[in-house]
Order: sequence, then C-alpha cells, then structure tokens
Amino acid sequence: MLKRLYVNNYRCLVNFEIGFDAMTLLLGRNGSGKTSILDILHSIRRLITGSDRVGEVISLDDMTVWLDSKKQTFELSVEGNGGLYDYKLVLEYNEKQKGLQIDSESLRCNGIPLFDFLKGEVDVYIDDRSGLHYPVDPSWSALTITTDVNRSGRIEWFRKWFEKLFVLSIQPQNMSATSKSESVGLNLYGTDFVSWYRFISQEYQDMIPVLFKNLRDSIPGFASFRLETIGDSKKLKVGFESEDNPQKIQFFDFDRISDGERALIVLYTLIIGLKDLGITLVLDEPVNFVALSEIQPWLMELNDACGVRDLQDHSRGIAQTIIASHHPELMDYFGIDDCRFLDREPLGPTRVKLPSAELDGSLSLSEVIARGWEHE
Amino acid sequence: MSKRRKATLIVVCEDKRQKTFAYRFLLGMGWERHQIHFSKMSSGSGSGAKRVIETYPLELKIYRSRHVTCALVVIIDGDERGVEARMRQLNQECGNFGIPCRQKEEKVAFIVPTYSIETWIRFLQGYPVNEELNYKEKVHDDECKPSADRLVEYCKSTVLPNNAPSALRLACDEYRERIR
Repeated sequence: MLKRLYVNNYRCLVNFEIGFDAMTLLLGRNGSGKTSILDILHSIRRLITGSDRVGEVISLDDMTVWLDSKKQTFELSVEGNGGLYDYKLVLEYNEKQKGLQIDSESLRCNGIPLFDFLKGEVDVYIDDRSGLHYPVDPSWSALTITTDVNRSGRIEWFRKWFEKLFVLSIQPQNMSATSKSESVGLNLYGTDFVSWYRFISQEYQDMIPVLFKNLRDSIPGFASFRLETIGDSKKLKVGFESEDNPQKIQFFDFDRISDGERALIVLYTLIIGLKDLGITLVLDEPVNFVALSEIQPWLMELNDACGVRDLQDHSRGIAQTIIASHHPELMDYFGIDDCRFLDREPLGPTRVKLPSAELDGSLSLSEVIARGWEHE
Repeated sequence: MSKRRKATLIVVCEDKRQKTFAYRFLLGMGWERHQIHFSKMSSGSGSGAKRVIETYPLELKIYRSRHVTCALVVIIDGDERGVEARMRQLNQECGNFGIPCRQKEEKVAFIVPTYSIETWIRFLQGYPVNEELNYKEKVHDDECKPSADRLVEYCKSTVLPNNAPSALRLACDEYRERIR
C-alpha cells in the first residue's frame, strides 16, 4: 500500500508531500495538481516495470517552469511484505545527451539499504553491506534489472508491487472488443481491458462467478461473457437475457454495448483484482459514465475490498484505492477524513491543505465544496 | 430486462468504521448489495452522533412516506450516555421535528454500540471489554471486516457468548425483531 509520495520539481509539484490510506479521495479545483500526481505515479510505474527509458516517460517540459534546478526528486513509501519500503529516484538533465537520466536511485526496507544506484553504478546490499557492484545505463531504472543477492526477495517484491499498481483514466468509448494476447495489467485508459480480462479469466477462474453476480446486480439483463476466437485474436461478447425468456441469451460485441455498461464492467473487474491480487488502484474520475444509483453499491464493494491484509501471506499487497474526482457522490461517501484537499495559488506550487475546522456539519461535503467554502 | 434493484434498507450511521462494519454484517445476513443504501451525511468533522440524531427524523419521515417495503437502521455510538439515553435522544428528536417517534410495528432499528463500535470490534476479536471504556485508539480499520463476519456467525447460530457486551445483545434483539 502506498503510504507516502514526495515530489520535487515536477510540473506544479514542488517540495510536495502527501500521505495515503487504504481509500483516499483527492479533491481540488481544476489545475490544483490531481492529474500530476496520477501522471507521475504512472510514469514511475512505466520506468520501473521496465518498458521505457527515463526520457520516454518524463520530459524536460515536466520540470517546474519557475525553478532553475535541473534535478527532479521522487520518493515513495510503500507498506507490505512485512516492512516499509522507501524508494527514492533523482533525475537530472544531461546537457551532453540533451535528455533526462537517473542521477540516483535507492531502495530501503525498514531503513535497511537494499540497493543504491549512483552515477551509473549499482550497489546491491547483503545484510547492510555492499555485496554486489556493477554498472547500469543511467537512462534506465536499475530496479528493472537488480535482483536480491540473498533470499529475502525484497527487491523483487517491490518491483512486483509496481506491476500491481494500476493507474487508470477509464475511457470506455475507446475500448476495443478484440485482443491478440493476454495482459497482466491495463493501460492508462483501460482500452486493452479485453486482454486483461483474458488474463483474469485464466488465472482467477474461481472469481468469475462473483464478477458475473456483481454485474447481474448492476447491469440490467447482464448474463455472461463469451470469448470468441477470430483468427489469432479473441473477441469479447457480452450476453444479455430478456426477462420474459431468461433461457435466450443475446450476445453483443463488447464495443457495441453502452459506455456506462463498459465502465461498470471494468470497475467491477478491478474489484476482483483488488481482492485477489492486492493491487493499488489509482483512478481518475472513475464514475463519469456510471448511473448515480450504481455509484454507492460499487463504492461499498470497493471499500469492502480495500485495506485487507492477508495474515497468512504477507507478500500479498494490501489492496488500496486512490481516486481523483469532482463527483459529489464520491465526496459525500468518503467524507472529510479520507479526503486530501489539494490547493494551489495561480502559478504557485500545489499543497495539501486541511479543510476548515469550521465545517459544522450543516452542509454535505459536496455542497461545501460547490460553494468554495472548504478552506474558509 | 431484469428488474432494476432498489434500495430497501436505509442505514444512518456516524462514520466510515460503522459503515464498513454494517455493510459487511448486512451482506453476511443475506441482504443484497443494491438493497442497502447509506444515507448521505453532512460534512462536519465534529460529532457524528449529533449528525445521526439530526438525520434520523428526516429518514423516519421518508420511511413512512414510502409505499414499497423499506427498513431503517440507525447506528449511533452510546459513548458515555449508554443505550437507553441514546434511544431517548432519538425519540425526543422526532418530537422536536414534529413527528411521532417510532412505533412498535415499524421496521426501524436503533443499533447503539457502547462505548462505541470499537468496543464490539475488540470483543469480536476475542478480547474482554468494558462498555465504559473508549477503545477507539486500540482498533485498526482492517479489523472491522473480520469482526463483522464473526458477528454474522454468532447471529446465524443465534447464540452470543456469555460475556458479550449488553449493547450488542440489545442490538441483536433489535435487528431480529425489527428488521428480520
């Protein structure tokens, strides 16, 4: 579970620190920095899971315009696997290469160093002492190729945690019905949902009946899914039954059902992921396409899945959800204690601001925010 | 098309812990996800009990105006006042609001964890508890759900342990007599 994020010199995030719980709602006016938080988590995930170089995930334009420094700092504290992991990444603009590269990168567990990567040289530690030393190209994260030199598996666990970090801004209108292969994760817009569903339906078959039940409760007429083979691809079909004749199921291509139905299918499948994979979900405006009466049932299921520790298996992550939203239903559901209010003066840095102590309970939180009174 | 699900059990409660506990308990007792709806609470960071007391008559009035069968569950910590005093407060608030207080035949249950919901969570984890002590700081959020599951087991077997807090016994009676 992501406990803390520190960012310096990234867009409007300057010397910025924020803490998270099992469920956290990011609130703030337009331009307050919510999307920047989501974007940096997505970028670091891409960097660490090994698919991209530094320069492909963060550009010079992402540096804060009013700062002179050419260094960016990112720190994450992640709880799980029996410890608190502190990861630090410092990027620097290289004048010769005309691009960003890694100045330093380090990982600690409960304060004990696991590895350091400084100026292109990696040190992997055994019992607090340097045990292995080798050079790495500073345009890549050393975490992508560094492995534990003892059997603790801590570096490996931390890298896997990033694989289970899902940052999503669901765009149902762009989702494809077909997939060429399985995928263990979703892309930023969830447009490869069918590939992820293929993975889930193979690896977590026992959870599919639960998913179908949730979808039957939420989508009128929903019956089941069918994966149809078309050449070397699979096409997801969604079956609907009529009330008059439940035996007769009519199947539609996944991209032919409504945006809201597609969004609900993704949202409930993510809960299956939370329960079984222990993932951290970071969602941007997840309920934009969802009917009002469907929001609270989904939120309650989400809450039920989050924060659960597997006492038998500590290596399983603690399921967590971080949401950025302007939706009043979400504000009123989360309430003040689980919200983080982001605030920013024009051309100034983002800050986490405490809401006014004078919120006396006579108005709903969404109404307070609609009136702009949250900091009065 | 299948029939659209409607909320038939409205829950008024103080905070997230009560909400998490209640949801898990109600699911365990056989309620469907879409049947349960938590009443929207106001924004205050102050007394959750005060907000429940103020919301209750509004929800009772709505309950009485509905044609479909509904039920209303009100969850409020007893704190230092205790169960009876909290129930009196709820009934008095109806008077202030100008409506009759709850009637015997109405499906309206008062659930009053005393000292607070944390007392029940701690008890359901196997610790001895004193209803006059505040355990808020001794309970973690992730202990809510397994404790609610344990209560479901007790309720289904209809036997609470002898050392169960008295407020929990009363709550089980309220639930059994008023809701199910």
